[in-house]
Amino acid sequence: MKHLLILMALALSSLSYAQKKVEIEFQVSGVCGMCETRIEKALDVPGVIMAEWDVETKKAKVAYKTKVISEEQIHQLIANVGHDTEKIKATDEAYANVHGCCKYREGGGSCTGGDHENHDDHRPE
Amino acid sequence: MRRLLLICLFGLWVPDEAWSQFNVLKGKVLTEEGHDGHAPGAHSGEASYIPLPGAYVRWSHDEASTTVSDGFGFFKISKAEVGDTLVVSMLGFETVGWVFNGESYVDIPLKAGVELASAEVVEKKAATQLSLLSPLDVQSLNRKELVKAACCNLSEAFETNASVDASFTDAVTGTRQIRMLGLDGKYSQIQVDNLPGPRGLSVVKGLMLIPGDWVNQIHISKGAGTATQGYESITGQINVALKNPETADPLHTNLYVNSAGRLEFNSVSSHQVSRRWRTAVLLHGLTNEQQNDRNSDGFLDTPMQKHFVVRNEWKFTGDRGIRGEYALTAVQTESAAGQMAAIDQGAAWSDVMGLMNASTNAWSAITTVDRVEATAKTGYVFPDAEWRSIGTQWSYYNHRQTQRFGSNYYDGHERFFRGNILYAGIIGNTNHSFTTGLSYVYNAFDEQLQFQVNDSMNVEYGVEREEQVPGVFAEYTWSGNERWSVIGGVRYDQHNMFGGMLSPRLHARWSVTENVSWKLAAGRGFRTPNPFMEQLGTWASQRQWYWGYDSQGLQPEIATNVGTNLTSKFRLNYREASLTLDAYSTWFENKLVVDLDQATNAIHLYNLSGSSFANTAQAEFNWDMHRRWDVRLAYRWVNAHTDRILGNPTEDPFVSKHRGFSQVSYASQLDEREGQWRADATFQWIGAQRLPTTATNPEPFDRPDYAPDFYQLNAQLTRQFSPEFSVYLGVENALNYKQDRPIIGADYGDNPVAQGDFNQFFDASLVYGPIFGRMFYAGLRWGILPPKKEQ
Repeated sequence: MKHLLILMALALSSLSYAQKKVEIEFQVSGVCGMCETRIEKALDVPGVIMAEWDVETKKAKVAYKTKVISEEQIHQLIANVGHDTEKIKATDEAYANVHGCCKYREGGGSCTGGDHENHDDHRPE
Repeated sequence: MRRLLLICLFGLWVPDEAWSQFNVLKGKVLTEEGHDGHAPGAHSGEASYIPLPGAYVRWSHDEASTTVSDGFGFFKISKAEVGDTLVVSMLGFETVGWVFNGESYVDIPLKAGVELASAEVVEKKAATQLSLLSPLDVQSLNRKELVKAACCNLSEAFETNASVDASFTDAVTGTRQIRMLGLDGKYSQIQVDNLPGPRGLSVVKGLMLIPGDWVNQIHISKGAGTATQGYESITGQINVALKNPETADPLHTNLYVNSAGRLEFNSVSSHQVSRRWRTAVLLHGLTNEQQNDRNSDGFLDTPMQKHFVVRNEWKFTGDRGIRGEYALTAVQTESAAGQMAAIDQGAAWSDVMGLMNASTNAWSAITTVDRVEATAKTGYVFPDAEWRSIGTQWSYYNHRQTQRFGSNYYDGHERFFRGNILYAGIIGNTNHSFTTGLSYVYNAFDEQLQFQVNDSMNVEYGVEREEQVPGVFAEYTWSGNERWSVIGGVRYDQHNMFGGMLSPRLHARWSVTENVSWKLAAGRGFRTPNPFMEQLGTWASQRQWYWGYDSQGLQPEIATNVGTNLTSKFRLNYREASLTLDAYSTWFENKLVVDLDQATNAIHLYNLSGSSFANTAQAEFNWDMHRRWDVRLAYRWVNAHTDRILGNPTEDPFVSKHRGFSQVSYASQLDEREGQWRADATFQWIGAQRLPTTATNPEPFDRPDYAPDFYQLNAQLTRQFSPEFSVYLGVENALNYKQDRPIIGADYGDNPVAQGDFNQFFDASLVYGPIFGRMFYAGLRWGILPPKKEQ
């Protein structure tokens, strides 16, 4: 029992760790679940606590530690993997690297019909 | 504040609902095959299905309409023209096209398809999933959870789960049993692919014959469970979903070895035979020839054994709504345990059994199991009305178990057949759905026993029993409201020995808010006891069996279970977390009481007079603390009492009142080849347990009345090189806790034990903790994944 309490205390102590955390929400262009994974993976960096991109609203929700990473850097990370954000447009070079089905600039790419299951929904069951 | 929140949510919700009546098509995406035992394709509303969050829903002609189903599987989409096609797709499921006909609500079941080799999946998925929507209190453990404890079979798979307790039956055979809601595993209904699993004579041993690497998911459902799957569920249902021809990789193999000398091989391979037929072959082989005696008591700490299990599955997918699943299983096991004096050091396996049987002055135990099993499930969905379906489930097994424990012999033979026919439909609309059907159970037992009372006297005893139980059942599901759903079920079974038995079941769910769900469950069930195999551990003792039920005859065990569950999902430090609180109470109308307290050389069995109950409460907290770290904390409390005759203690033995559980899991970022490091550690505190009294035994044959509490630490490190290949290394019982002098009558270095004393006091069944101590294991998994689809 004692050990349990210690463990619990350890787990909770990471909360009270005094650091400023901010949650922001902004628009990121993308098409499908594959884009979602790509965007979220790009934000798998120190300082980012939580990153979620909603395929429906095209909105990214990001919680981060202001001491470690800036809002600007977060936008840059997404642009680096080829997705335009509200603040930073991806370079043509980066955009060229996104999968064919995710080409959002050409009017939504080709995530359609029967192809759907191939790349559109790389989400957990 | 909470009230305000409620009002806010409710306020938002109402106009939304009203608006949706006109412009919006609402619906729900769920799995086609439920976890609670419906035939493939059988419909009975949301209760039978697992909702699928994150499925893509869109009109085929309008890509901009794409929407995603929410956490409960619900979606909303603007209405289109009648005749337009709605396309629903999700990873791992076959894409469905559904033609709109003016409805305002629709349930869309998705059929599990071949899992795609998805190079891009990095999103973390919870290893244990709780459903907020199903009225049933179900916890689903998926592969990710199951591989946390690589060792090995089903009886060991629950090591990382707080809801199920696992313990040894005795100190010699290495057999484990489970306990749910404070009661023995026999009061839970264990199913394999929704069909009867370990029960009857194999109720304890059967769990050891299902290797973990065959398992795709385990659904643990607390409370009485559904009425459609029989009367035997009292404390819960555990459904083990094996890898099937459709979901299994072309090849999956697993090798495992541990420091106790156990070597295991498991494999699953699947193959598409024709357009409609797929097949899978599952293999399990186990051998342990190492002689272990770490506590130097002259007894093997782990049994020497050989297991071989083979299973062949066939799956049929017809074009016109017919689907079928057929399986054949064969089992053969041999195990030898007991005093090492019976065998030579290093004796070959081929000689062990012979040596043990020939040895007259050393105690030994030999068990063999031969079993065949055949099952068939066929479902038909009416093409013009997909909410209507018919399913049939047939299962048969023939189980033969022989054993010799010391000078006591057992030869048991069981034949079991069950047929279940289910019809599912709706009343008016899909808000009111039902499943009804007929079942027939045939279960024949022939057990021959021979006990040695003293050197010159043997007692022979036989149990011959034939049960025939036709039954009828109906279950109604109301799901007319997103916040409420109710499943009410009842079954009536006409038992040839016990007469008519009524088993009502009720489950209700209320979504207090979007993220808080409150469930209620109540139900009654019954079962026929098979004490000789249920009390397997008692065979490893000199206890004589006494049957106190002779005057009344064998009576069914009948119990009612009532419980409640509150599950809340929330965000902690921006990361997903959940808290589950539950409380269950089971009380018996009749029970076959097992009384080990009357005398140290006796086991008394008699029908309950007085009361017997088990109350449990559990709190579990799960937190996806960090992208790479998961935390689970749980606490479980049990209070279980049974009135025993002659004022014997009422507290149920071998039940720890308190159990604390904590688990930390780590998974590294996937590298380019999808390699990953994973580490898991599970730390448990198992509280004191009452032991049957040995106070009348002289030194050194007495033991304390309460076992001390103890700690267990298990840890495992996995290196995944690629999705095809991974190796793991682990340790069980890392703190090296060993039960003190587990075998009464064994020589623990005090004094040589005289043969007469051994004959009088020997008891290896008073086991509360580990015998072997720290155990290391290592293994590998290698497979062939299905070819990646063109992108």
